[in-house]
Amino acid sequence: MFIFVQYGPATQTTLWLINQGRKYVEAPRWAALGVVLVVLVFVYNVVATAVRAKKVTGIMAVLMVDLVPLFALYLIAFPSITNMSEDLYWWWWLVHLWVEATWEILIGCIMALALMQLLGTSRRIVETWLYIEVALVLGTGILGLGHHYFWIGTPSYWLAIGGFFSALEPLPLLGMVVHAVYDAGTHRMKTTNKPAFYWMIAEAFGNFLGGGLFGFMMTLPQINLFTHGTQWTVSHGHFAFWGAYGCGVLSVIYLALQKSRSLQEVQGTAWKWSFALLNIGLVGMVGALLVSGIAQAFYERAMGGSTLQAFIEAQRNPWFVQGMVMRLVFGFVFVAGYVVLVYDLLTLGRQRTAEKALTARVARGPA
Amino acid sequence: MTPLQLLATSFLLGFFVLLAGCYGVLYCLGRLGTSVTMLRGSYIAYVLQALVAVGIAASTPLELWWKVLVVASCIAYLPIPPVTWRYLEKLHQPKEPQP
Repeated sequence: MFIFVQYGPATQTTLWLINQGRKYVEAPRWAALGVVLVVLVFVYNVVATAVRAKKVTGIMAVLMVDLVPLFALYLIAFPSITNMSEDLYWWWWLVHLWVEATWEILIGCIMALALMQLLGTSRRIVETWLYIEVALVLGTGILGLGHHYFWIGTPSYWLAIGGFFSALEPLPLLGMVVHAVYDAGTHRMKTTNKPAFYWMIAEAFGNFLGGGLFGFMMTLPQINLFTHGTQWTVSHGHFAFWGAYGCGVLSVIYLALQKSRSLQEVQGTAWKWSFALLNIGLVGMVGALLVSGIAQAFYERAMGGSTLQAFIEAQRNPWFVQGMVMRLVFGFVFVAGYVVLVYDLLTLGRQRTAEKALTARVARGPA
Repeated sequence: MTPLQLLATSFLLGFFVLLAGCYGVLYCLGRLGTSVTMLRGSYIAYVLQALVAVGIAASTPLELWWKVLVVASCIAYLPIPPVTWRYLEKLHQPKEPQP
């Protein structure tokens, strides 16, 4: 989406063909319509599955209800609102309520299904847990929206609301960590799909550390005044997103591959390398960004008073520069992990299938 | 808030959550392996978390409301691992057949 860059004043054509201008939903309008289409296809698949089965389970019911706001919130990506405060107000509905409400529920449903496949956990257990998770995540997440309203021109009561609910957000995340350790311990890490299991455990820890730890360091308004919009925020966002969604998606991909390639057990060493490299790379990147962000908050905001001169000086500060260099170094580690991951996903189980075919041909003897 | 106070407060808030995580993980490991050492470690982590909460309340320039919130959430963290654990055990027990 960043292939085309336009110089000069923007027009309606810019919105349609170049980009729509707002962060995270900057995709040009034709691509945004594509997103709407994809979500609608997903909604159709889920609803049609339930209709065909003539049965709506607890997980399916939660998923179907969740897909309504998930679809509706994205429509905020389309209007062009000229008042910046008003625009940011609604834009955060889309960004925050997608990330900390509807997607959380979506990944909760997917993880519930994955737990049933992976550990043979009964539907009763995963559905009970899902309902609790939905209540806790929505209870803290919806009004946690307020931490984005601190400095965009909204009334000051958002400082109290945002800070309060954000401070509560790590609590359910700790519950998820307890659940992950319980599952890992009671099954003694034994499962037919270790990569999926490890990525699921990584999800709970990544979510807690990225969302809970990195988030709470900078979410209270008095701290956030200095950290807002620095690389500090970037480190929190990337870590939390990786934990909450990246790891969960990888877990589900491994589960789907096990099903689609009819594998009794998912084995190999490549996934271990990709797991280690991706996580080391990610933790290294967010750690480096944290160092750069702290340098920005300290030198540019707290010492320099957020002037343009302070901004430029902070950009030249050795802590900031070295943090950004280290981010690049760990970025290469992450890329290496990604390459191994793609290799593993493409070849998983295929080698054994080829070996089996060869053995069968040898057993049959010469034609 | 001075620049150094900013860093100190932020790090204390980070340690607060990190110690909560240590408390939760050590508690689970202690219950899984029925290890008294791990369980003791978890309680030590919680005591350290409480000390950090006191430190935040006593030495940082946060407004009173946020200090109260940090101390209250510290109390709220205490029952999370044992209650969650007990609930998980109860949930995973096989259901008795209806007569």
